[in-house]
Amino acid sequence: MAGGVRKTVLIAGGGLFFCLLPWAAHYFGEQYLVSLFTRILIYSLAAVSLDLLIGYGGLISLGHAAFVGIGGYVTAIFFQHSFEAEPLAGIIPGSENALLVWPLAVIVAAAFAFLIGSLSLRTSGMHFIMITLAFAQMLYYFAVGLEKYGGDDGLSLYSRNQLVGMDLANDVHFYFVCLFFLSLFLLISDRLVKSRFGLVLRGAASSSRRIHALGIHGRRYKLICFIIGGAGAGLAGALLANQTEYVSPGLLHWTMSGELMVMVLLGGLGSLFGPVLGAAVYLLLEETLAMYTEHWMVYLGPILIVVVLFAKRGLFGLLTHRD
Amino acid sequence: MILLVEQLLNGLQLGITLFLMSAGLTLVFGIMQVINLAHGSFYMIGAYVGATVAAATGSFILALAGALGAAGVAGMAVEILVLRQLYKRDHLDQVLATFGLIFFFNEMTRIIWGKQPLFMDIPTWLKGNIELLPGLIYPVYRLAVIVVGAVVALLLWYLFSRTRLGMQIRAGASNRDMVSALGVNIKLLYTLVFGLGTLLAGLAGVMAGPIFAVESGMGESILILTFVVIVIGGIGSVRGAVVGALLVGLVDTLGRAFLPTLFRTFLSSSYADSVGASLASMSIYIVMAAVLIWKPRGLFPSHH
Amino acid sequence: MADYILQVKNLCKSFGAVEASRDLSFAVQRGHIHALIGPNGAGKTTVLNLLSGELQADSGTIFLNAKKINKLPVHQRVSAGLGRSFQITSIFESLSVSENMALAILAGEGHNFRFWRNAMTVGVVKRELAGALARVDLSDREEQLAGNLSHGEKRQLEVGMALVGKPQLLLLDEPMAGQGAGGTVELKKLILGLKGQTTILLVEHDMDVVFSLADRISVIVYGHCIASGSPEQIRTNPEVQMAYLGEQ
Repeated sequence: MAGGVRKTVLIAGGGLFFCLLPWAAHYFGEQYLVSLFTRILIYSLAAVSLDLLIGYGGLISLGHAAFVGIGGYVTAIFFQHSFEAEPLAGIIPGSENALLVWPLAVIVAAAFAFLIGSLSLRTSGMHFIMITLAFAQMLYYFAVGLEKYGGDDGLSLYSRNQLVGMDLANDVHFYFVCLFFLSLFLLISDRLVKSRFGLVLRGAASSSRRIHALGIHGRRYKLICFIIGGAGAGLAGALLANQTEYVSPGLLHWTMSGELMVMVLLGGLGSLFGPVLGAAVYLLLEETLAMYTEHWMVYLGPILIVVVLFAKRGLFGLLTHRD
Repeated sequence: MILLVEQLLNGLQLGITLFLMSAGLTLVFGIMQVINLAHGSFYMIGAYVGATVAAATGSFILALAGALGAAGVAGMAVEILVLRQLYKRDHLDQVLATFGLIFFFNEMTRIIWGKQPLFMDIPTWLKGNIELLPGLIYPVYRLAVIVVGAVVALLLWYLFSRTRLGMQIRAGASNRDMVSALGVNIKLLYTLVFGLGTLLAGLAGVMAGPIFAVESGMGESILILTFVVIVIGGIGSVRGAVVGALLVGLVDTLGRAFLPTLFRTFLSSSYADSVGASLASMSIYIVMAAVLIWKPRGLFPSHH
Repeated sequence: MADYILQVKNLCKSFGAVEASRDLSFAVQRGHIHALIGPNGAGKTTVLNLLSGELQADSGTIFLNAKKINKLPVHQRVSAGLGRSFQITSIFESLSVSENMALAILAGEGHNFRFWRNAMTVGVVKRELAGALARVDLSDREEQLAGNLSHGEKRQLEVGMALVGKPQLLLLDEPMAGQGAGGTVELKKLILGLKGQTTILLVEHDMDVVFSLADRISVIVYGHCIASGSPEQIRTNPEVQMAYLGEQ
C-alpha cells in the first residue's frame, strides 16, 4: 500500500533527521538547536503517551500534565534531599542517580495514574474530561502548597542527574538519552497497540457495549492504558526537570495538558508518530511566532481552531494519506 | 461564632459567583452536548469591560450594563462563528477549539488593556460596612453580591419553570431530540441559551471586579471551580448547579478559614499552616472525588 | 424428557409501571432454531437483554444447561456458552473487518493481557481468521474499516463475531432488520447452515423467515408467553391468531 510505504519513509526520515541533528547544529554553529530539539523530544514523549490514551483508549484526559509534573517533582525532590544530605521523611536518602530516580519517577507517576484512573474511569464522556482536569488541578494546588519544595516559585536542581557512562551535563549526550527514551517508548507503544491488549483497547474505545458482550472487562484495559500513559508522561517529566534543571507547579497546570493535547491533534490522533511531528511543529511555531510578536498566542488560538475544524487527521495523516 | 457566620457569608458569596458561572455552562453542556473551556473568557470580558466603563463614566450601573452586554454579545458571536461548527464533532475537537479560544481572548485582553491588572472601585453607594448582628460587621458590597445572585437565581427559576422558553430549554437538557420534534427553532434556541450563559458569566465577572484584580487569565481559575460544581451537581441540571455551587463555595471558604487552625491543635504552627492551606485548596476536589464514588453522574443526573 | 439447553421460568421485569416481562416461561431444546415472535412492544428485546445479562430480572430464574445463570454478569454468561448478536449493529466501526473478527477470536482465549505480540499473528488468529471470515462471506473485505461496510455486511460481521466463540446458544436479535431481499436470502442460508452446530434463539419480525427456519416458536404478548409449539401448531393456535396473526 502506498500509504504504508509513505509512513515508513516518513518515520525513517524523521529518525535519520533526529540522529543527525546534533552534527548539523555543530556544522552550522547553531548550538541552541540541540537544546531546542531536546525539548521537542521530551514533549514528544509526553504527547505520544497522551496519544495512547486519546487515540487508542478513547480516553480524553485533560489532566495529563499532572503525570509530567509528578515525574519532574520526584526527580527534583530527590535531588534536593541528596544535595542537602537530608533524608526524605527522615529515612529515605535523596539521590542524583538517574538509574534510580528516573524509574522511581515513572513508578510514582504510574501509581498516581492508577489512583486517578480508577476514580475517573467510573465516568465517561464529558464527565471524564472534567474529572481528569479537576484531579490535575488538585495536584497543581498541592504542588503550590509544597512550601518545603519551593511552593509557587518551584524548585531548582543545581545540576543534571548522574548516568553511568554518560555526561548528562553535555547537551549532546543528554539529547541522545532523550532520543533513546522517545524511540524506546515509541517502539513499546507501537507493539502495544498492535497486540491483543491494543486490539481490545481500541475495541473498547469504539464500542464498550460490544466489548462487554464479548465477555471482556473493557474498563480494566482502559485503566492499564491510563497507567502506561501516565508512566510515559512521568518519564518525560523526569527528563524535562533535567533539561531545564528546574521544576515548578506550572508543569502540572492544565494549560500544559491542553498544549500536549494540541500537539497530539496537530500531529495526528492515534498515529503514535504523528504527535512527534505535532510537538515539533507546535514548539517551532511558538518559537517562530514569538520572534515576530510577543502576542503570538493571539495567532496561535485561531490557527488551532482552523486545524481542529479542517484538518482532522493531523499533519501525519496529511502526509501519509492520499484522498 | 461571629467568625463562623462571617465565613459562611463569604462562602455563600463565592457560591453565588460559582452559580452564575455554572448555570449557563451546565445548560450548554446538557443541551448542546458541547464542552466549552472558554466560558471563563466571558467572565474575564465582563470584568474588563465593567472596569473600563466604570473608570470612564464613574457609574457602576453603566458598568454592569456594559459588562452584561459585552459578554452576551461576545458569547452569541462565538456561538455563531465557532461553536456551531462543533455541535456534531466529538468532545476532543470541542476541547481543542475552545482551548484555542482561550488563547485568543487572553492575549486579546493583554493587547487591549496591557499586562498590568486593572482595579475597579466599589461604587460609593455600596461602600462601607453594615452591622448584621451585634459584633458582625460585613462589607455592604459583598452583601449586595449575595442579594444580586439570589435575585438572579430566582429569575432563572421563574424562567425555567414558568415560561415557554424555559420549558423548551429544560426539555432540551433532558432530551435533545424531543425539542426538535416539538418544532422549536433549535439554532436560535442554542444561540440564546449560549448568550444567556455568557451573560451570566459576565455578570459574575463584573461583580468580582472590585473584589479581585482584573487580569488576563482570571477566567481560568474560576472555570475549573465551575467544572467541579457541574461535575458534583450533574451535567445539565440547574438545580444541581445551585447545590454544587453552594457546596463548593462553602467547603472552599470554610476550609481555608478553619483547616489551618484545626491543624494547629496537633501540629507545629508553621507546618500546620502549610499543610492546612494545602489541604484547604484541595478540599473541593476531595469532595468531588467522594461524590463521584457515591454517584458517578453527579447529585442530580439528567436523563439522556 | 427433552434435552433443554435453556429454560426460563417465571421471569418478571418492570420499568416503573410498565411490565416488560410478566411471569414469562419457555424452554429451548438443544439443536433447535427456536423463534420468539410477538407484536411490536411485546417485550422480545427485553427477553434477550434479560438472557444476555444486560438487564437483571426482578424475579424468576434462567437455566443454561441446567445451571442457574440469572445472577451472572454478561461476560460470565458468555463463558457459560451464550453468544449474542445485537439488533442495532454494534461492531467496532473504527477497526478493520479482520481486526473485528480477531478480537472476537481472542476474546474466547481468556483474560491474560498480552502486550507485546502482534495480535494478528497469534496462532489462534492465524488458524481461525480465514475460516471465520469465509463463514459469513467477508473474505474479500478483510482490510475494510468495519464502519465503511454496507448495512448487510455489518450484519454478517456481527453474526460472524457472535459465532466465533462457538456459543452453545446463540441469541439472534432481528438479523433480517434493514436487509434487502438478497441479504435476507443470504442470511437465511447462513442461519440454516448453523443448524446442527449450535442452538439458536431467534427474534424476528419477518414471518416468512420465522416459519421457514424455526423448529419451534414461542409467542410473546405483553411480556407473557401465550403459546409454544411447532410452526404448524402455532399457525393453527386460535389464541395466537387472535392476539397476533389475526391482526395481519
